Amino acid sequence: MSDRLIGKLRFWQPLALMGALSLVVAACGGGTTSNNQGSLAASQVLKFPVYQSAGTFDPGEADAEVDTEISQNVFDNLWRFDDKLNLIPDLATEVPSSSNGGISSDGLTYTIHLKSNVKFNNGDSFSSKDVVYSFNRAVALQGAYASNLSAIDGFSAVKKAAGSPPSSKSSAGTTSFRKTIEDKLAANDPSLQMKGLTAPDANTVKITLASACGWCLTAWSLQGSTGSIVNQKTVQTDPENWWSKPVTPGSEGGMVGTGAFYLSAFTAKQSMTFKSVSNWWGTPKPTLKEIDIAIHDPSAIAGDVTAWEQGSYDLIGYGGNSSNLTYPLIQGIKGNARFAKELITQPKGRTTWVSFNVGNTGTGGPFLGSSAAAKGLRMAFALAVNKQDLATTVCHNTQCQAATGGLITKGLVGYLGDNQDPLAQFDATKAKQLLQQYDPSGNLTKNLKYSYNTGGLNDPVASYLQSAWQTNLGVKVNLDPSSDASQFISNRLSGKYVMARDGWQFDYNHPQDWFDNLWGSLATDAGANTSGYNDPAYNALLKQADQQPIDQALPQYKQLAKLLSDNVVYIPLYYSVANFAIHSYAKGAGSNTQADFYWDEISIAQH
Amino acid sequence: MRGTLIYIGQRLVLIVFTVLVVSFGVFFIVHLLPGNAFVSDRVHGQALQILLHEYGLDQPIPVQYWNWLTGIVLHGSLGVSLYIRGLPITPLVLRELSVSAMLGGAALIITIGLGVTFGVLAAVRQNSWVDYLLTTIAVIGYSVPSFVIASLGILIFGQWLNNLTNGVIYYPEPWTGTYGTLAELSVPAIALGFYTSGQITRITRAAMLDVIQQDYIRTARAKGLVDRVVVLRHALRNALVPVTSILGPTVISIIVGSVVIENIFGIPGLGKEFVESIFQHDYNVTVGVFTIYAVLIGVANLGVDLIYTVIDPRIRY
Amino acid sequence: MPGETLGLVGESGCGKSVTALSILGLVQRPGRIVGGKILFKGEDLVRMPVDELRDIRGRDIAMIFQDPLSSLNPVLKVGFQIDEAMQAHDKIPKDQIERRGVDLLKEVRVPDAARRANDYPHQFSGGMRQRAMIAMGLSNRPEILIADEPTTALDVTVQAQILELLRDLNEATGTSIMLITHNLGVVAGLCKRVIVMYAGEIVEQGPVEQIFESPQHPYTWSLLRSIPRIDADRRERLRSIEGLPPDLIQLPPGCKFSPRCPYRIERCFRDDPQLKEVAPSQEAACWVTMKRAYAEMGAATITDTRPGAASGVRPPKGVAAKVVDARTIDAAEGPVR
Repeated sequence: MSDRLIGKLRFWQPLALMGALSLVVAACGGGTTSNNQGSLAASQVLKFPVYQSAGTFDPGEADAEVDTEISQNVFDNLWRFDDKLNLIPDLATEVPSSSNGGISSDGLTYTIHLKSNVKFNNGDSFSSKDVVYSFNRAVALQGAYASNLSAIDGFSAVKKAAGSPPSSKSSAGTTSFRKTIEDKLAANDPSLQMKGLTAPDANTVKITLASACGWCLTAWSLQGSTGSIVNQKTVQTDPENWWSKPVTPGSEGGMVGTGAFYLSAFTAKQSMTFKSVSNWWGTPKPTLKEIDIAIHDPSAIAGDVTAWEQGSYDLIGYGGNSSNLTYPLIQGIKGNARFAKELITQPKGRTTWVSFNVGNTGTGGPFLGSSAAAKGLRMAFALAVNKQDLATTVCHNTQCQAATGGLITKGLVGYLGDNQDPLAQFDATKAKQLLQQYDPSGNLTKNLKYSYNTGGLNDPVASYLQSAWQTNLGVKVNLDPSSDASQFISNRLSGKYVMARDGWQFDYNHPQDWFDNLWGSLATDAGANTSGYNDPAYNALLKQADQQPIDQALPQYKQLAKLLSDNVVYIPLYYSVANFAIHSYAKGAGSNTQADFYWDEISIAQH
Repeated sequence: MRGTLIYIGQRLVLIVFTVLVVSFGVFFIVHLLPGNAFVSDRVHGQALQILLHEYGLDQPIPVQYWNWLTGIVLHGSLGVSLYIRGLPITPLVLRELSVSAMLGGAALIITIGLGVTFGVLAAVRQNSWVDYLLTTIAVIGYSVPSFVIASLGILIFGQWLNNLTNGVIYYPEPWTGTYGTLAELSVPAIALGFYTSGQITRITRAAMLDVIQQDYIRTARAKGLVDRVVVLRHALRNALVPVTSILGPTVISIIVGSVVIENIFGIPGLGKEFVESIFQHDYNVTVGVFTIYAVLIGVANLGVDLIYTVIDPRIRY
Repeated sequence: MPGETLGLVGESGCGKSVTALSILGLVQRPGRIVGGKILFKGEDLVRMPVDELRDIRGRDIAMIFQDPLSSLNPVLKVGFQIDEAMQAHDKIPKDQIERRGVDLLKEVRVPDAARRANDYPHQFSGGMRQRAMIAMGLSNRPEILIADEPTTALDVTVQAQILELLRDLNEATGTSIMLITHNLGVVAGLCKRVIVMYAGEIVEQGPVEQIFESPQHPYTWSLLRSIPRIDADRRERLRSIEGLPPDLIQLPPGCKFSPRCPYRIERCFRDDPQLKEVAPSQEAACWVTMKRAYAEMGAATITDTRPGAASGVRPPKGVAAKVVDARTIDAAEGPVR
């Protein structure tokens, strides 16, 4: 049995388990297959709508869930998460560890053995050169996730070499940057070769780190991202746009990976079709023959639900669209006896909170600094919000749940435990008392603004917060909505708001993903420290934690979480809960905290 | 004939000039708007700078405009999308243009067909109940904006009559494929065309009433021509001259209206793209679509002026 | 009478055109014919069904109008408009229509007729347009051609050419011509018989020479006096008829001309005179007639032509003299066509 199958046996969904069982039987071969063959529908085509065009499927640049949820089915990583978020081998024969000799005793050298039977969708065979190319390329492109590879020795040098692009005054046009990188990589330009990344032989990759890294294994497994392997030949045909080209027989280009599916048709902003690779190298073979994805406006979801009920779509919510079902639509599905069981609720690794400005002196505000007064006022505002009531009022307990166990979502490594976050408490009396103590005149908290981007739950949440602060503190906070999310995020990241909606969706199941990217010097350096919280103690502890294996580092990360809550850097609000509408005949379809289950696990039963 | 060709040439030069000015204006404005296509929780700092550089957005706006312009002139390319990164825009907007053209063409046929028919009938049956009915419809037509008619159309055909139409016209489910079906096209096209048809009814009726008083109509009747020929061949032909004069504004009104209608009905045309691209900060698409609109309006006006010469031989350029 | 040339004369607004339009049933709404008969070959055109009347239009009775520019459709080719008249009836075989169209243009002396047939009316001069109208009128070889002020809108030299053309065509084709005009000079040049109309009624008729020589109705007499004469003394004022034709809606009782007539007598205000023979084949509707005016009221030397000036008769009380100073109502009302 393949490693991939082991993951399948751990399905938490009974429905999915059934689908997996059939696959197990199919994989083991023999005469028993026919029993299950009979239950499969004649047409193995999965149809679903998405509500946003992917920005790019290029793993070197992809930076949104809507990108990776699709492309994870085309590209493979060295290892990957299974449905229970455990690491399992993918292109590598095993996940390196110190016990299997894959990781050296000092934790700095990784020796990775590759499967020898892997082929790209276009027939090219896969070797260690492709790993070296893909990793170096991803670093040179400096996409949002390039930092996933930052621990590799030589990362900074390559980043620097690629990051001095031709003078911006030139009129060479928009293709120069990517083209230049591809040309240099093709020429084996040493400036774009990470020193710590080598290929001793065709089936071995050796990676040397600049410093020990406890989170690298998980970061490199992030699907559809910088750890994914791409085909140099096809990328070179069109460095800008290769990922949007269908793979056609005889053509060099196209969205080619080593996964079980390839892009067969792409109509921008309208539809995408993927087809399964015949004679795919991996096991088990995919059951689905084709995936038809319609790209719709978000406003079309009501009609799509009707179409789903009529059987035109097999599911809704795949492709990073699991928060699109609105409460009335969810109620509608729940209210229909036939479909109520097909509404799948799944907590997502996404947390929403309110950020205080604690460190950006230019922005100022009553919450700035580490004085008792500033901290006391922050605490007052945090305690004045009843998080349970918010989840009930705003989300009807279907689209979110109260965030009571820290910023890292329930179900992920680093979750503190239910009701462990002191900031999640609701204590109106104490809140009022703190306000009286630190702002008796009310002058400090006059003309406060809560800034947020409009859409989804953000508007009702803002109204709820406003009324909570009014009721429990007697403070009138003005709402500052922004209809332009990108503008809002720019301002927020550069610390221009005194109080702002904030949030994070985890990329890989490791606390480093949160504590590096959101607070401290690392976030500040990246220009992403919303609150401006930059505590030397925090930075030192973070550096230490990042270098340890996760079992040793976990207490330190929890300590970091405590630092944040002790300093009242945020007001925890809620964890997002996703809602999928999945017909029960779409066996194996579902989702975990992070991502959709892979298409190659899905089959369409007779219905 | 030669005069006409020179005239067309002059007008084309003027259109090119106008389009240049308009495109630069739009280019300038969209690049000055806050926000950009790339920013997200994850894309900021250096990653953002790299993207800006990759798409040339870190260059001065006049340089960007020059690059954009040379791209069109040298490669016939409107550039690449920022939202779907690197995707060439030209095939995308051409496809969307063909969708919009189909919708607009259908609306124009409805507008002219309804408007002229109603106008002629109302004039021929002046002061009868037919006249009052059609005139009332026309007043409703041009006093009710197209989006209201669109909403009513959705309510009636997409909701109330949903069972009757067998769910063919179900909104807001977007239409099937690129071009939709005839049934799916019908309601948006009527919503778009009805508004302007009111104007045409009014103008046609007034022009017909004026023309019917003319001496040559008396001549035609004195020749012994039957009423149908008198009305259609002699009166209508002349009445179309003033109707043609509002054809330009009508076409523009349909082009502008299509932006609203396409967004209401989820039609994957240029108008929907235009609005979407603004929200997505997809500068190149916004500028490209707007430029196409400018060209369309210029060409439509030129076309109307040329139709004049066909309808009224006295007009020569 | 076939081949006849009849002139219908009167001031503007006296009902000449309406009479002509009534013949073909072309009076525009809200106007309509309330009574009377129009006999054509023994049939009453007034009571004829619309379809039959339409067959007569253009085929048996054709009509040409005052302003040839506005009477031709500006957006259709001249040749087509002529052909169309023939296509509307089946008098001319279909295959000959186009050739006959060009021939007709030649006949009415349009130069380069074959090419000109493809021109639009605005490319024609005023005279040529009227020739085209005449060609159109004659296209079905009608028995009667009604020409309503055919020369009024044209230059004097062109006027003469058109009249000459009409005369020649009358002689060549035998088509009767009914010439409607306010210009007695035109009538003298073309017609054999003349009918003088006033306020919608015939006041005098007879052979042209006889009427010109010896008009018996004071209105005819006044009209003839108002023709400018080349041999007139320079100091002599151009004589006009005092006042305006009466409002056809509110006609005065008695003789319609009485409010303006210098020779009126008391009876004129009371009784409407009927046509009666005043000379061989000449009829006039007048209680006085010029014979008596010459004999008793010194008409030969009269200079004051104001109403009642010669007879000294004023309107009876209660009958307001419907004489309005022409200068005050210049722009008050368009003419009744």
